Amino acid sequence: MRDNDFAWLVEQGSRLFTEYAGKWIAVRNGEVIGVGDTATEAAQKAREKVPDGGFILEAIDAEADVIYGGS
Amino acid sequence: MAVHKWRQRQSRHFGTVWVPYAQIELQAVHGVFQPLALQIDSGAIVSILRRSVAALLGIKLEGGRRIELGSVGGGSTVAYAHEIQTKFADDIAYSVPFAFAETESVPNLLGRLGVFDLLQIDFDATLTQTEIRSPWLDPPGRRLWKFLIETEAHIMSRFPELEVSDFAKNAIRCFLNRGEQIIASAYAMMRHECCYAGPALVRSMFELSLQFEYLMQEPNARGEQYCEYAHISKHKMSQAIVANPSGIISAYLAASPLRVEGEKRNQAEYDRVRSRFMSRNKKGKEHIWENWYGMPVRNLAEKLNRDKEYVFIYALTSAWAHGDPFSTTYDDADAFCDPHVLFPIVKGYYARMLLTLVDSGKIVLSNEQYNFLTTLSQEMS
Repeated sequence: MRDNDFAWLVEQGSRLFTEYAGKWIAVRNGEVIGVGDTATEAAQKAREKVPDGGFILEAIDAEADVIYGGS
Repeated sequence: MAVHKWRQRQSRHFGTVWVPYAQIELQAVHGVFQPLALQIDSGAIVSILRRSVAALLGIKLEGGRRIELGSVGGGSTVAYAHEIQTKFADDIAYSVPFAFAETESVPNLLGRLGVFDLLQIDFDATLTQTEIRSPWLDPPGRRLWKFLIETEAHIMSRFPELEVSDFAKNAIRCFLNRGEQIIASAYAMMRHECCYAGPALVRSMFELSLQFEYLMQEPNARGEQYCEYAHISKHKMSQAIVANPSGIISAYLAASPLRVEGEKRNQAEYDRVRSRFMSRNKKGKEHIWENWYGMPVRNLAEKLNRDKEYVFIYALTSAWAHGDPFSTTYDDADAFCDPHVLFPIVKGYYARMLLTLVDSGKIVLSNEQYNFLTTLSQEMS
């Protein structure tokens, strides 16, 4: 588990929501190393920077006032 | 156990809101696990991921079962169901169903199926975090737990029919109530993976079951003795409080308008019962019993032929209670901190108490119930 990177995502939450709303980001060691419109795109950019390193992916939702749920 | 802090987000209509997120790891077809952060949504029947996550994991989207997911807004989303090996905590991988949407326009959500029904998920509003752990009881353990509760309920429903005095009934109720409290404490410890104080519970439960056996040998006489000794205990406690006038409890009592009246009443009750709990030592000096049964716990255990159990339980639990260097230095020194040891022992002593009541009170159980309690009480010894 990339616990430190998850903790960093929590700390940086507000900034990330503003900066990357609607995007996928890949994070490693407290740094955004890949950004894209899809998970594959963000992961590809991250691998270009860190070919054999792990990273955590997250899609930054553009909107907070959404009701999900459903069946 | 995994602990995931919540995040704060600015919403358009409700100001700043907390959003629970989780970190999971999804296994790609080539075997490597990819970490992903996503929102937890207890309202979603199944976890949902965007199309590109399937591509990232090397999964052929349309290879899964085609489903349509409705949303609370009334729209629907076409998705494909796939089982993915997923890690939540402790490096254990679970097979979890995910709905991979056809599009990128849905949120990634951790829903209920294969998650909420398999794992224990606690939303902690105090610490603003979500804790994800393995269930505190496995399926056979859950069946045993449920049956114990049902058997206990059956016994308690027959309780009013017991042919004993009101004193005895009151004493029995007090013991069973304390037994339930200890069981509940063990339950809470196991649920939160904090069994560190397990030895204290085992010791309490052992002493409780010893006293209960003693009580049930002569329930009427000893039930009265038990209830009356409460006045001695209350008096001792109030003396201790008086001796420590600066304490929180002393300050609280000192401020009470009922204090004078209460102290008078306690003293009168103490004076009424003290002679029956009075002994003389070898030098002829009078002293009040230290407990309601008038002997050290070791002697009580010997009287009930539980002396070997006493030695075993006290050897293990006293080390913990007294901060013994072996106990504090080595994590494995206290076997009762292990939930797989703690719970059977605590349940076992409680089962012994219920059996003692059943045998002496002529409460009829089914063979299954009786054998169940017998097995529980034997398993822990």
